[in-house]
Amino acid sequence: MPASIVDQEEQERDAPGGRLTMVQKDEALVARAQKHDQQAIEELINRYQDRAYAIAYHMCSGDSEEAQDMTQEAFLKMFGSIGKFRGTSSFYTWFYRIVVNTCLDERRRRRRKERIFSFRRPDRGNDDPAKDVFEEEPDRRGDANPLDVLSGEELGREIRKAVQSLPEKQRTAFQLKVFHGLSIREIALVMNLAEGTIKNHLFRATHFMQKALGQWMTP
Amino acid sequence: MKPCPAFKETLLLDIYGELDHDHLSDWERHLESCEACRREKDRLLSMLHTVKTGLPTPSLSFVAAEKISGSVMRKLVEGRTDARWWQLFAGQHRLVPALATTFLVIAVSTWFFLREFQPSHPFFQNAAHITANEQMPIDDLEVIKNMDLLKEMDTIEKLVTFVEEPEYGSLNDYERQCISYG
Repeated sequence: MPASIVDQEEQERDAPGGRLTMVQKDEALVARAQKHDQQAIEELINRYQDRAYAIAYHMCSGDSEEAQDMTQEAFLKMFGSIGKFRGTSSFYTWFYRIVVNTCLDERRRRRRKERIFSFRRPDRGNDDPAKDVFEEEPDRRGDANPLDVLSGEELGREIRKAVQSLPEKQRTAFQLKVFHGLSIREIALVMNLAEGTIKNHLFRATHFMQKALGQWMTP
Repeated sequence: MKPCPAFKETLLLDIYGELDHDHLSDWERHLESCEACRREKDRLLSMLHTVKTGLPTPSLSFVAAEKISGSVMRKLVEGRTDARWWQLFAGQHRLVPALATTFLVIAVSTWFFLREFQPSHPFFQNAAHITANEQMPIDDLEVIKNMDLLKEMDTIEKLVTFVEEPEYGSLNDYERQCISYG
């Protein structure tokens, strides 16, 4: 699990020797990337590709291939418009917004396509969006109890199903908070919404998830 | 037991680590005295923990990371090369308008040149460009071309005249009248 931006920023700020903070380092790299400095571009990719992939992975329902494609596309979009970045917000919130929008656009495009061609595949209507992630990720614990593994897989499916059932904005806010550790203020910047709206989406999503996963919770 | 409605938002902010220090002490005091809120906080924290552990985020493998960064760098370089070519045509130098203007000027100059030009230069005086004075009349050329045919026609005409001529010579108009009146 990648470390949250806030944690990393604090680590860099507190580091000895007066190192640049993450935001300052980003600003310097972005300024160089705007002048087509290859090294700065490569450093920005190395710096952000793990986190961009993590966001894309959850937004693409656990499809790692699609998540990699989305990460690549988000980088290309970001470098394509890096000249327009004026630094009014942090670079990472700007870039995360590009990642989120790229994934949402792809998701909408796919849904439109499915709606158009659904009459051709009437028997595929019962596809479980939750099934993919655990089928792709085999359990590497050789000595794991099969019953535990099985219940773990079932739990994973239930969580995936519950997350996918959330409305788009609630799901995005919930994923950014729970899986990526962004603050409400950062989520508001990424989603271009007011902080109060994000709180509302987050709280609704939390209550929904609590109800959906009620049977898995210890009383 | 339900949690206190007055602390609903505080509870949610607390489990997400968003509660500010001003409200934190009040909330902690409340938690000490309210079992329902304490239980609800534990339930929510447990749920979030289950969600996090139930759907782990796999880290990007080294190969996949290399693939993404390599692909992005390559596409950026390709895109920049394409953009440089396009810049030549549509960018700062405005090559397309410049070329269009040049061709237009050449076309107009050529048209005026051809319109006003009187071909007197020896270069133009070949078989295809003979001046009007020196050009052989078309009728004469036709005569020369059909000389054989004209000769044959002349011969035939002479022959016809000879065949149609009477034995006692040709009659003039007076003699023809005398013959016709008896």
